[in-house]
This record gives sequence, C-alpha cells and structure tokens, in this order.
Amino acid sequence: MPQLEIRERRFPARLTRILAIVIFVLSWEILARSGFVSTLFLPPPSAVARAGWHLLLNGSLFGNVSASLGRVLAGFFLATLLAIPLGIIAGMSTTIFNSIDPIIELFRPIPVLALLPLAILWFGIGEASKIFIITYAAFFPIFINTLAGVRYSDPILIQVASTLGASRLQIFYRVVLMSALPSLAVGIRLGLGFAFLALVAAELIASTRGLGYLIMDARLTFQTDVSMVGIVSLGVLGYAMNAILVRIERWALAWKQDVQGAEIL
Amino acid sequence: MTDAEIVIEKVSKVYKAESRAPVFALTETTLAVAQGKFVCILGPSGCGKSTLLAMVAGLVRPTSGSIQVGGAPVSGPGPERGLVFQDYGLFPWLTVRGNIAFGLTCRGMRRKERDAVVDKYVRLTGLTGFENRYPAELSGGMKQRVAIGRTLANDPRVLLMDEPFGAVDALTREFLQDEILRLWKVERKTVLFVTHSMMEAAYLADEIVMLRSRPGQVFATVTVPLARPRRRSDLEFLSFYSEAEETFKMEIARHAATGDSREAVSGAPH
Repeated sequence: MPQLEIRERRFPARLTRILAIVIFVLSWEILARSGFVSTLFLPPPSAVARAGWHLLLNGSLFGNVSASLGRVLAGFFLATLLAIPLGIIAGMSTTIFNSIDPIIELFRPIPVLALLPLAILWFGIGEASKIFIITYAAFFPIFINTLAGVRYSDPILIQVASTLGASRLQIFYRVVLMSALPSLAVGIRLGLGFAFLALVAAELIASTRGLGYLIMDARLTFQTDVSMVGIVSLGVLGYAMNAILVRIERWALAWKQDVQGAEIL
Repeated sequence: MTDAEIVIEKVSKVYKAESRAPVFALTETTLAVAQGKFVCILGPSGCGKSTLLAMVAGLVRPTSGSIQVGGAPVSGPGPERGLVFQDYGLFPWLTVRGNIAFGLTCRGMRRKERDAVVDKYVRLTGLTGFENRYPAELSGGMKQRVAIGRTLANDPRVLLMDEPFGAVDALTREFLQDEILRLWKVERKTVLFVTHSMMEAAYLADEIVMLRSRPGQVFATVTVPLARPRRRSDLEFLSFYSEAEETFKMEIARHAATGDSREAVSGAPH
C-alpha cells in the first residue's frame, strides 16, 4: 500500500506575518537612504521613529491622538446609537422599510466630503461639525447591515419558535435579534472604518488638533517625517480599535466559527 | 371516533396567485387520529402532505374546513402541537441544552425545573456528552435528535414530524427510526409523521394515510397489521411492505395517467 504522507512544511503563521512587516520596513529604509528618492519626500523609518519619539516626549502626539480618538469614538457611538434602533425598526416593518429605503439610497452614494462645507456652515469649525461628519459616515453601514440582518432572519427559525410557544416579543428578541447579530457586527466594523475616513477628512480641512491636523500642518513646513508619524499613528489606532471589536465579536458570536479577522480598515 | 386526538374535517388548501391558475394543494381532507397512535402520511411530492402538517401545526391556515387537536380548534401555532422540521431548525446561537430548553424558557419555567427536564431529554435522545456543543458542531443525525428532544421537552399533546429523516443518510435514518419508536413508547405521544417512503411508513406506523397529488387528496387509509417490535428483514414485514408499495404506486400511476381527475376514490377498508 502506498503511504499517504502529508508533510507540514509551512512556516509558522505568526513568524511569517512578523517577517513580512520587518522586510517591508527594511526595504523602505533602504529605498529612502539610497538617494533614489529624496528623504524630504520619503523619510526613512528611522527618521519617522525619531520624530515620533520626539512628539511623544513633548506631548503633542498624545494631544493629537486623544483629540482624534475622542472625535471618532463620539461619532461612532452616536452613529451606533442612531443606526441600530432605526435599522431594527426598518427591518421589522415593510412599510417603514419602503418609506425609508429610497431616501437612504439617495443619500448613501454622496461622499461624506461633499457635506463638509455645509457641515462647517451649520455647526461651525469646532467639534460639532467633525462629529456630525463622522456620525453621518458611520451611520449608513451600521444601519443597512442591521436592517438586512433583521429583515432576512431565517423564517424557518421564526416558525420553529412559534411552534415552541414563543410570544411575538420572545420571537423578536430570542430569534430575530439573535440571528441579526452577525450582520450587525459586520455593520459596526464597517462603520468604524467609515468613521476613520471621515475623521481624517474633517481634520485635514478644518482643524487645529488631531492626527489629520498633524499630517497637514507638518506637510506645510515640509516636516514629512512628522506627517508620517501622523499617518502611522492612524494606522495603529485603527488597527487597535478593530482588534478590540474582533475580540468582542469572537466572544459574542462564539457559536459562529468563521468570524473574520482584521480585514476591514 | 370519540377518543380522537387530531380531527381534520373537510380541510382544503388553495394557493391563489395573480396571473396564475389557483393551485389545489389539498382538497376535502378528512382524517381522525386516535390518541397515542402513530400515523404516517405518505404521498409523492406535491400532494400537500407537508401543507396538511403545517395546518395542524397552525403555521398555515386552511382555505376551508376545520382542524381540532385535543378538542380545541387550531387557530395558530402552539406548544401543545410540537413540530419537527426536516431541516432541523436549530437555533445556531444556542447550545444543545439551550435549544432543548427553548420552549421551557419561553414558558418561564424556573431554572431548576428546566434543567431537570433538559437533562432528561438530553439523556433520552442520547446526546449526553454533547450538551454544550453548538449545532454547527453536530452531524445531521444528531441535529435531528436535538430537534426531537427540543420538541418533546415542551411536552406537546401531539408530535408532528415533517419528513424528519429526509436529510440524513440511509444508515442514520434506520437508526433514527428505531430511536423515534423507542421515544414514542416512552412518551406515548400521538404522532403524525409525514414521509414519502413506504418502507419508513410500514416500519413506523399504526396507520398509513396515502395521498396522491394534483389535486392533493387522501385516497386510502391502511391499518398496518404488524405486531411490534417489527423487523425490517421479517418475511411478514416485507410482504406487507411490497404489497402496500405496489398498491400505492399503481394508484399514483393510474391517477397520473388519467390526468387531473377530480373523482373521489373511496378509501380502502380499515
């Protein structure tokens, strides 16, 4: 009998991932130092790290990160607070769905940036206009995914629950809401991604604090290393927040074994 | 029949759709199931057997006629009529225990009492050791055990089963057939069991109600003259099965050949 041999010759996954980052950073360093491109336009990682260290020590990094984080969290939570109840209501009633859907579809394709000038006019240049923009951007994915989750919950499961004696209210929170959870989780993660996009857009255009401001302000004085610090900070921040959401999701959706990793953001 | 648990009287179901001719899913069906009996409803696809079951469960409203279970008219789904679905219908976010406890939780049963009932049905359905698994981690046969346990835990008067073993492999099916007979003996429920397999019906049923399609209609009710426990290899069993299967197929073929005949054929003698 021929022996079937399955040989495990793969690299350990974690090592591969770390190695990929190391190689990326190293190539960037080499490229930046080679003189091939000006370090003014592409500062090497070592210079970015130095700038980052400096900003960390003088407190400006912390100030800008906390300003951005505050805005993004405020907008994101506000959006969640609005979008989930509305999504549930629209998902439950076809009449409400039919009256809301065309309006949503009309507003959805408008890039959030297009609203920025008006938002500034309405809410001023301060925090309110930024939080408005972020809330607006994060609202749609959360709303639409909540709606879909509720609307397309398995009718068989609803029948099962009713034959087991569940009341309408019990069917709603024991079946409809539970089966909407995975879709809702997708919406929340997408919403967070959208919130970050809107955050940076708002901070780039009109702001005196925050990572977007840091990036823009440093660019004006050709401190590209400082700009890079801002960009990297955004990446780390987004990654960390998504990782927290994935954690929560894994815990809440333990029954679902295919919870995806950090592919959004 | 005075001790009839399920009484189905002149029940018809017509699906009307705009732009299409109405579909007569079931016409003028009358049926009485005595308490504690195991009755199989047998018919080809499209004969309305699942519709009939769904109407007893209260999920589908008859176009005309009436259904009574335990003397009370059926007007909607209720826990006294437990339905086991072909595709299990397990709640994927609940463990085996959570699924079995579902009806009890809805009823507001105390935790302690509920745990005792759940324990009992975990044991009865042979799911010990799998209590805390999620449905995604179970085989098809096990999923159906959970579904049956969940329905029985609710202590229904009647157990309705809609081709419950249609989605499992042949070996598991025979095994589950034995299991359901064992549970039926313990629990003494009235069972209405939909199937398209004469073999299954002959093995399980006290009575077989045969339906044909277009329009869905009962054409014979046969009492199975076999003692229990039955064995699939017994000569007696096999001769009953082959004769019944022959009669059934002939009628289906004859009906198909004569087309959309509406004439009522009187049922075979009881």
